[in-house]
Amino acid sequence: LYALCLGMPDRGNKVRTKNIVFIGIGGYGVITASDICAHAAVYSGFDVKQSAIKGIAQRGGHVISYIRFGSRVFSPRVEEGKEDFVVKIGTKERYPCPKNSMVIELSEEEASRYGRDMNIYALGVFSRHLPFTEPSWFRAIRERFGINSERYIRIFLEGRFRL
Amino acid sequence: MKRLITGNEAVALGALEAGVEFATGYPGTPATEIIESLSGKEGPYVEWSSNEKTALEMASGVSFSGRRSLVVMKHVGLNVALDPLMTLAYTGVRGGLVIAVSDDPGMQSSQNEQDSRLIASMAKIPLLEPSDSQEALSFTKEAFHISERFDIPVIVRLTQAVSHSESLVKIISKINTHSHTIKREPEKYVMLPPFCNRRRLDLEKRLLRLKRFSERFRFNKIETLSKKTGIITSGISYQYVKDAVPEASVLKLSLTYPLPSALIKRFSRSVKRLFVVEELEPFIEDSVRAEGIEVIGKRDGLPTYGELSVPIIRDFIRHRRVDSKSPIYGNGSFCTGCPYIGVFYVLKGLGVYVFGDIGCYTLGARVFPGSIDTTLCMGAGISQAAGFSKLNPDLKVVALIGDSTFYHSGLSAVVNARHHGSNLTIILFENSVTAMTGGQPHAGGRLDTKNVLTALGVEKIIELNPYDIKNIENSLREAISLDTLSAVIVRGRCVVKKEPSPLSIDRELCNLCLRCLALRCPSIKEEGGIPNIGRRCIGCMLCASVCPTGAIK
Repeated sequence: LYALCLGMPDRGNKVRTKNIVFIGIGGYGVITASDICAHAAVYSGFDVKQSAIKGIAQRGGHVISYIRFGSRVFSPRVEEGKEDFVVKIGTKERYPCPKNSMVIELSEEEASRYGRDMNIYALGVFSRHLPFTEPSWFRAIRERFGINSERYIRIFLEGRFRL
Repeated sequence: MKRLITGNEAVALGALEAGVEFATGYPGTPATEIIESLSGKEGPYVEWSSNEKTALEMASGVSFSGRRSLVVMKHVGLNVALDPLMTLAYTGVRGGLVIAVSDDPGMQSSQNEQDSRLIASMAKIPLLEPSDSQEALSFTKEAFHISERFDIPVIVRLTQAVSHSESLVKIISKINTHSHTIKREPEKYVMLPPFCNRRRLDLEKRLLRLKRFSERFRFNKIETLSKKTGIITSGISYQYVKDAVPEASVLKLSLTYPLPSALIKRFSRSVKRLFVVEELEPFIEDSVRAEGIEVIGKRDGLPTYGELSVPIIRDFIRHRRVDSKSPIYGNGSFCTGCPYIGVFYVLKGLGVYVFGDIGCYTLGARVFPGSIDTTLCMGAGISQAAGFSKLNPDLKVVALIGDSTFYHSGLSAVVNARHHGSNLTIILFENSVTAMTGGQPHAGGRLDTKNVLTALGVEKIIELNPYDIKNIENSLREAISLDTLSAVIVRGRCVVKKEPSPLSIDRELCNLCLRCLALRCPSIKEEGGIPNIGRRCIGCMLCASVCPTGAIK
């Protein structure tokens, strides 16, 4: 029922391709969050493409990850100015967000409360805006964390309901 | 089952499904992960080779025994492998031989952006261009079939955007197995006249058969939509075209050498305006024009450099407008605690000519401007330095090279420099891995580099402590002052995975001279004239060795 409220994808119809950008600092789990999100999209029945830019600097550099999902996704790259969602994790970096995009950013208090887990919390917050089913989120998190996944699902849900 | 994987992982999976028994290559962005995702997998024997030429020659030996092999490299690696490649088309193969090459349009991590398709046509080797992960998987499998059916090696050519983007693939996890026999056929494999003359003629016959195959190849396909606009495209450009001009009819070419001329003609007749959209060189476009077909493409302004994108293609097709700006990359620096930092700090002040090479140490040119004079290609530094010093005997000359690059293509340069009595100092950075691509082991890893240099005739070899500035300076000065072929070995482990263990600055002792800052270590930052060490510091003590008051502990 909850999934219905959020608008489950009607797979019979064409869903316009949506663009997500995850941005953050290396080491804060940007790629992990992006990966879970991409898999939740796959398990919800969408076509998905993902690409990450890690750059040549191996330590502490900026990390950007792009996800596109829809009925059929062609280009793996997100066009500048066509971002639907920008998710910032552990960074204040300015990103040229287009006018009608939605920016997901944690408050200082949230970021310090969750520390190294802020990526999963941010994912929970972000998840409310996406048409992916709750079971597909859980499945993506479980596949990522294995036996530790219950802890991460709790953090995810705390973000989802911003407890 | 569906999985979300990169193009590189998909090539590895395709090779596994095709029952590959041998995989090798040399690390190079954007191709590295193909071998990485094969290592540890059940089935094939996998190794990193000393260079791409050796890798391809090994694979051809494996192929001679009837077994399937995969060779992986980046576009510039194909140049190194070009010698065996050019004649492999003549001899052909017994077991399928597939070469996965990833090009880097835009040069995010390369010294040039050559188009491997031109090499395929020069070497007369069929080439497939996947546009996503599913195709990377299917085409790699297909490549093994084509290789065996037409008795020829096959190139699977990816580009950065295909190699590193993730998209969905269907996994069947059924592995083909092959029976193989060894057959001795000197007239096919010993390339001297008259055998090579006969094989040359046979190659033309095989290419004709391949051309007919290309006409019917199921992945060379027409998508009919608008009668007004038709676009011929291949590789990642296909994906961009579908987003940029969804209403256009498309001829998607997947086997782009040899090209299906009849199919191209048929498509050209079905549309009013015909475009060719491809990254880098006008490879398809020139062939289409040679058939007497009118097309709009590179000659009309579509860039022959850099990556294409949805907006570039949209602007070009809809408004014939071209925005010629190309992104500039390059903001990487040394990792904090890298054992190479100190050498560059000292080198800059020695007033010598420095011939660089390819590896992490190339970043020295960016971090300490003026510290490196040239960087051309793998293994070039020592030979460039030797050439320069031979004709300019009064100047002091240094060549830089890492151990992986040294064993890749530096050895023959030392032999030549020694034989002809060149006077130069080789600074050899030894960390026992190919660090720039993520720390792969290299083929010289078990050799004692000092012994190798001695055996090659290097007269003076000095080993230094990379975390002691005084020691670095004294060692370099000593080696450079000699009128002979000398070497300095800079031995230190790659620190990329090392846990932080930050040093701190004693405020009482610090005299604010800021000498530590001049090291350009990413962990030392200045705020209001006061130096500060960040949390990522690994405690290498290099900065402590420049501190005159002993404030850093």
